[in-house]
Amino acid sequence: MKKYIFIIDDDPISIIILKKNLELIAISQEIETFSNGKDAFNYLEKEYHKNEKYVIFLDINMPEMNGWEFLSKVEPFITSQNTTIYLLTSSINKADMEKATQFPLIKKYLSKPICKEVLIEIKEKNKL
Amino acid sequence: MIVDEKKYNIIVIEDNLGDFFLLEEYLSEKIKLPTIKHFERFSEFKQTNESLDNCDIIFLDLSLPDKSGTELVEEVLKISNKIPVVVLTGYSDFSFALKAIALGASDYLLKDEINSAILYKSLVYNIERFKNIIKIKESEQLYNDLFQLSPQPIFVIDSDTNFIIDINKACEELYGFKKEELINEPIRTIFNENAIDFNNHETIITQKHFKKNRDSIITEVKYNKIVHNGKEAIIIVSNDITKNIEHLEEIESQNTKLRDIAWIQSHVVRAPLTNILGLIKLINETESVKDKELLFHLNQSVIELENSINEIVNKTHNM
Repeated sequence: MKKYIFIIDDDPISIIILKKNLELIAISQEIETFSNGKDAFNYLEKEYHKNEKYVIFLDINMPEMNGWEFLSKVEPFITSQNTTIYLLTSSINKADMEKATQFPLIKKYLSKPICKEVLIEIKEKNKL
Repeated sequence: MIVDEKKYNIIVIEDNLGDFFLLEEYLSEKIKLPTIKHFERFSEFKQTNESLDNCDIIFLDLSLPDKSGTELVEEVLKISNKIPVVVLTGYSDFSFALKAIALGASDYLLKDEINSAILYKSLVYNIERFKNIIKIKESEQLYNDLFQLSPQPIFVIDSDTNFIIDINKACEELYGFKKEELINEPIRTIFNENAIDFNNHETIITQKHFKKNRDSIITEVKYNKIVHNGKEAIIIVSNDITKNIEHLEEIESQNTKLRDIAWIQSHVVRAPLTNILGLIKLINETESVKDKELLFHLNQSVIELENSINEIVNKTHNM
């Protein structure tokens, strides 16, 4: 069973920070990055397999297709059995946090900046 | 014989001294202490400086040397105001006595028929009746004022034709029309009355009304049935709520802007800020202070943060 790590975020600096942090805690898996929800959706629509494992870090505010739209699009064919989505956003807006609870695919709402401790926890939980 | 002990202040305007003394005599028979003021000419009466406030009744001879007839009655009534005027006349002027009543005199007495009983009855009767007339006039005035001076614009329309019968001052002010310009005009001038049920007296209805300059206003109106000069009419009370609505819309638009700003704060401003925090953490943890790449990104994020703050400041300024 292959394990994928996706980062879906339009902010390159934010991606660099997350990647460097993942390096720091020695995550060996390959990391795929997408700059908006649409690219990630197109990829998953073709390549998604039920017997593989996905850990996705998803931003909310993105051009083309934002995080919410992405979630609605993938919900019909993705299950939380093999896919764990972490909403990683700079937003601390209550409305966003409440909205996140409406999506069962979202494992956790994480506010940027991400810290190493949280990533270590994620690594252990998902056996990365 | 019963003598009235009440105090009466009586004015007699009579040029014939014989007639005056007779009158005085008759009055004294029925009244214990009448105060009688006597004028022989209209000019004397007009020029008197004494207040008429305490006066109870005026007896007026219809033909005085300096004024007589219609003119005399009208002038005296103008001065007497709230005091009853009883005209005195001879047989020959009987028809004019009736005219004097039509002009507003309270009663007439034919000189040849006067005796103490008739005179006393006329005096008491007219004083009491006039008190009631004044009360009615005052209440009429009060109701007229309630309509005319009401701060709420009011229309009265004919319930058959929907033509305007009356409007008050507040109505003139709000709609910019003079009263004369609206009387006998259809209420359609103000609003489209098709499909309006004037029998609905319970509900407050929101309507679009037009002013004289064709500006439209939003009003809340209420209808009621009244009887106006013996005819069935509808009273329309209008309440201009245009400003309230504009105010509400302004607040709603500001709320939208505030929500936009909250969103920008949360997403656009916090994005570079979280990057800065994340980069500093990385620099600390890797001890790579000289990492040009991280420092470059740090610099980028700081510039971005500044731009977002400027954007917010501009948005707030435009509110």
